[in-house]
Amino acid sequence: MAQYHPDDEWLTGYASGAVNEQTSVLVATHLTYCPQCREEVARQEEIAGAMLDALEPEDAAAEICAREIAAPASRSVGAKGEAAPRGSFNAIAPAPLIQYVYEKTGTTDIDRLPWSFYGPGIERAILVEDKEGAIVRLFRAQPDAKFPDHEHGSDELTVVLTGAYSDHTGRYAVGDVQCAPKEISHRPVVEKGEICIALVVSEKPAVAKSFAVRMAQRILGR
Amino acid sequence: MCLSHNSINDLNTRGAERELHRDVEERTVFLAQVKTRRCKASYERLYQYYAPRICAFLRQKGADERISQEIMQDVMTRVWHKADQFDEKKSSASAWIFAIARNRFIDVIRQSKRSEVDPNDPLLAHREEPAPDSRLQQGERISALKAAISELPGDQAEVLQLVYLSGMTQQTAADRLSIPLNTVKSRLRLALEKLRRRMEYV
Repeated sequence: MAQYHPDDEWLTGYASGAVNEQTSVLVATHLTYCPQCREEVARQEEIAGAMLDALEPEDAAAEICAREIAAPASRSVGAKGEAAPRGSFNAIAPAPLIQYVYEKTGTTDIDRLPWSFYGPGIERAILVEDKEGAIVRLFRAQPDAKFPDHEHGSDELTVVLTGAYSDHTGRYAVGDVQCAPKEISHRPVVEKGEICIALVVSEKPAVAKSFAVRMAQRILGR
Repeated sequence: MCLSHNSINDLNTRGAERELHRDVEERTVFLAQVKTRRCKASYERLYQYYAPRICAFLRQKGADERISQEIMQDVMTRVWHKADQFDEKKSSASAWIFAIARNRFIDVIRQSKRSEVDPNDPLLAHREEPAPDSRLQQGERISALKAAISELPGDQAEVLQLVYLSGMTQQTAADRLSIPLNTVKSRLRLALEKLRRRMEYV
């Protein structure tokens, strides 16, 4: 069961609907592993529901009622997007993340994700990089792999899917969320024994600390 | 068979000690009736109650009158078609309908996607021990919650409104109120702690 949870701000943003698409998939991934946070979200939805009850009703809706109540079954609701086919990613990822990855990459096969070299023993697949600066990546790191010491251009959220890693703030295993504020600089090290796959959501690319790593990343495409 | 007007009246006239919790339970019962018996009379009651409130909610989030009515109709259509997904043990009708309206707003207005947990996910983790049994009955919890919301200090209630009804991020709420982000966070935290305590104990 998850030991590290999203900050209150992210859970509240998920319950209220204020978070963006990529934060919502990261939180839903954590919630799959974390019954306590699911209960917290449900509690906040009860609070919002009670506030909905207390709203001053809009009169304009009354006449629609009379017309619409008659035949709810005659209206239909739009179908959901195409369901993701089963692939090797299904074994390690919760449903909302499988769907998200499928929509962004067209595959649910781990080995067919757009992996590229990131560092020794570490691969990265970019799922989203948009004009607003949002960047969503999967990392796949071999046991014992060491990430370069890096800072972040923005707050960064990570959720672990397989294996575990540690840095000076703690040990993060399956379902755990690390909220790394942009001030922190950290050097995650992957545990022995298992490949670590994690989803990372941030606003701008992390800034590698050493000049050499920065140059290397620039040459390699980031 | 579905709820007749007589049985609705029976619901309305249950014991006086239940009076306080009556309408919450009633709406949750109506929704359960739609779910199990496709009951039109219950749906009608839900429509009359929620349609004007969903419109008010969407207006608060910034939708104009026409769009808010369109989204409201879509939300209420979903209430009919998706009632089988409602679980009266897990949430009240209002919380469930809030979530549908919130999600439709994200879809239609923000043109963004929202991810939800799949209750049938093979990876879904469950509590090792069941949730503590000291919890109140749903109707009691909701009326305790409503009383607690109405007793919140004005500055905390204001933050709650901006966050849950207007759907603002905490940073946007701070900008709107011209107060530091940390003040928004602490007001929200204080409010949520109070509400949580009142939902769990008499």
